[in-house]
Amino acid sequence: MSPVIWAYVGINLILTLSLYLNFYCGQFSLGVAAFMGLGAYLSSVLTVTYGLNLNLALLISSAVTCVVGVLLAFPALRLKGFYLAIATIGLVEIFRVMFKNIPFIGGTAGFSGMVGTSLPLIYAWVILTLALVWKIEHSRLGWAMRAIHQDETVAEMTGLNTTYLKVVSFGIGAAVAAIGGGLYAHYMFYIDPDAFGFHRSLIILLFLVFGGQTMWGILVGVPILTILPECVPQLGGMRMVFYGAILVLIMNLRPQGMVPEDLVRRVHGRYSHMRGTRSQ
Amino acid sequence: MEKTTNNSHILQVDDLKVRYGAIEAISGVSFGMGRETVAIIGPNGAGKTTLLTTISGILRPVYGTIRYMDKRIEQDPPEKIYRAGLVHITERGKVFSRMSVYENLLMGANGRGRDKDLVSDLDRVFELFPILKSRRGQSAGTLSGGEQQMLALGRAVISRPRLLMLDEPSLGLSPLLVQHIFEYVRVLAQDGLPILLVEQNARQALRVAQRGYVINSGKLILSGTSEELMSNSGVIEAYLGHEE
Amino acid sequence: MGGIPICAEPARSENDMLIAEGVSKNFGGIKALNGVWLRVLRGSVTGVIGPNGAGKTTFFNIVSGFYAPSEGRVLLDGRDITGLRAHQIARMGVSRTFQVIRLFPFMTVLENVLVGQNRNVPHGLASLFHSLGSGKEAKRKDSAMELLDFVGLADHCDALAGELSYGSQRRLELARAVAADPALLLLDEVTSGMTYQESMDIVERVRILRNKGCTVLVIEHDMNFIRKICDHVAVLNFGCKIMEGTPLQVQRDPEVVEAYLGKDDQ
Repeated sequence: MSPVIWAYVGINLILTLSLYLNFYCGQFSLGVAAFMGLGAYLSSVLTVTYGLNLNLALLISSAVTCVVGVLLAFPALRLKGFYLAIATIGLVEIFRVMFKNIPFIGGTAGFSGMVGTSLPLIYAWVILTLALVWKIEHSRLGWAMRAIHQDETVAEMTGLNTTYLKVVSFGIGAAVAAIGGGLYAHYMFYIDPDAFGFHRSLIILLFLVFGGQTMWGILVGVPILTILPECVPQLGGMRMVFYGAILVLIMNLRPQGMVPEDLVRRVHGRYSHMRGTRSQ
Repeated sequence: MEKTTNNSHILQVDDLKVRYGAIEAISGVSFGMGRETVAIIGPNGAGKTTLLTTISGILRPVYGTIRYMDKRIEQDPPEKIYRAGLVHITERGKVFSRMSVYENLLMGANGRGRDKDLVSDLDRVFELFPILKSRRGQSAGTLSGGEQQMLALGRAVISRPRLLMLDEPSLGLSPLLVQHIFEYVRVLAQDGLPILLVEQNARQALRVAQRGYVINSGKLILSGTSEELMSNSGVIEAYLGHEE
Repeated sequence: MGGIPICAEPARSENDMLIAEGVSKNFGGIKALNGVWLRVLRGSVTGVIGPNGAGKTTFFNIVSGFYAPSEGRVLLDGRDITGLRAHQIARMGVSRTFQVIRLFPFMTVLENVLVGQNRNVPHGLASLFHSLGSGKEAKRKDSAMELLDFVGLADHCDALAGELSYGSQRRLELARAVAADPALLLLDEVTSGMTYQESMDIVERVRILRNKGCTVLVIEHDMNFIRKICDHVAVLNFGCKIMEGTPLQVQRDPEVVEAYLGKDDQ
């Protein structure tokens, strides 16, 4: 199997983790494609036009995207559930049209010339992102986010500043998506605005749902769904059909995803004697 | 446990076992009732709600039989059981929150049609729960918890049940309303309606019922007439308390 | 008729943990609360009783910051908390339980209590630089386990909150509310659905909390509970406070009997 596929796996992992961070806090934001695009264009301009080192460009574009995400969070997070999803899809489209209309970055003709990525580099970022998400899950911040997910009102009443925490999750999600976008741009050598439409967000959503909305689920689901269509070369441009079919299948056969939370909990439970929790 | 034969022509449950996930919520419960009011008391988590939801068809038992009017119903779907007249009012009575109070009551008459008895039945409900009358046009979701309970009871009664199962009807109600509810239960019982009552408020439940059972950890551990139970020291300690 | 007359403005004193001044709340056309004045003494256990729909939970919602009153003020320990957000009020030492149980269903019993500690513990971005295995966290976990012992749930610490029985869930809510060491504890029908024995156990828990200096406000329908633990009782009806006094005074008031207690008392 060519290394190209593994590059895609790595990039998709990062993007799915971005979406996961939002969902972890109960925010059904589908804006990942927008922040991916922003990170892609920003980092590309920094390396191609200004000759910056790739990693530095990634960090800067991620920081800027994070700030943009934080600013957008305030109006966006007044919306709940379904309405937030729709609004963020709108956001993605706004960004896409915006990219099309900025001649500096090539407009519809796209932007090219990005080089500098390699498989080890991509996976270094994947590991960093995984470490970040793991740390969040195993910190009071993560607990607070889970509490907001399960009952936002009660979370607020136990003293959690839900606005602050939701904005934090939105901002970190945007920053991570930007890294994914930057790596994508530099691996593909060429990007155009249509690469960052809402179909991108939907595919990432499929990865997350297929995996079961857990970290293990993402590690299992993303490689499977990235590699599988490549095994059917006849598919070609019909990739979306494949993904649509997978979505229907998974919703019918296993809606909780491949590795849902209660599976993780049960497996953990088998090894809890190693963790030093108080036993019965 | 015991199998009553003379007191079982309305409802007869034999050796019922129900699983809730991995937990065996009901472990071999048997009892029967005729045209009377029977109370089931016991601590939380004992299986009271599980028992009622199994009888009304929402849950399926893994073992055992349930006979209603001499027909086995343990595999029947809940709608079929409801249409046969076995009406179950759940804990914290659920209402159709977007419909008005009046519409909610009418929902109880779904199988009946607008006969003239419906009007007098509605009047009766409004007489007993004047709050419902004054809020009849309001949407049910804006009622307080206790008012919704009253509405659920009113709706169930309008459906002219042949066996009424009440799950904690007094939950969350003021002492005055609790008395009202049990008054109404008494009136319904006098009309000849068999009533199976699951209650936390053991004192009121045993006062209105002829017989009772104590359930704990999915088993019926005690049974008897109301008088017997009310003078049982264990029951007094745990469920009745001492008069002050 | 005993008790304090309704419309007199209560004198302020340093001993008041909570003062409600003319609190009203409108929901569209409905006046849920109508000019409620209430004084809650520090370290007391005060009951709030009244018929359904009288506005008791609305009152709690205003005190805990779920929404702001349409009129009036609320003072906590001398500070005006009117209109503050719920988490700000919580940080000032107010905890509550809910009429309908609201736990975090997919978190364990222990985690629910640990989250309750959050308002006194860094839980924002800063917490990324702390470790869950640190000494401080171990101490917090010990406190949480002590609390679970206090409510009798220590054996279930790793169970999912959503899987507990009803009575256990109520006790867990209590533990979570106490986890942050509140100065004012609001209990909304905490004994609802409990047997006599279970309710009396809660009475003991509240007594221990009161002896530790916590001020407790309870909404209750269980008059046994009120009699056993409340120093003072306020009665609401149709959004107004119609009476207040000791449990005995309140029980004998004819208006209260007619509107709320009924003739035969258990």
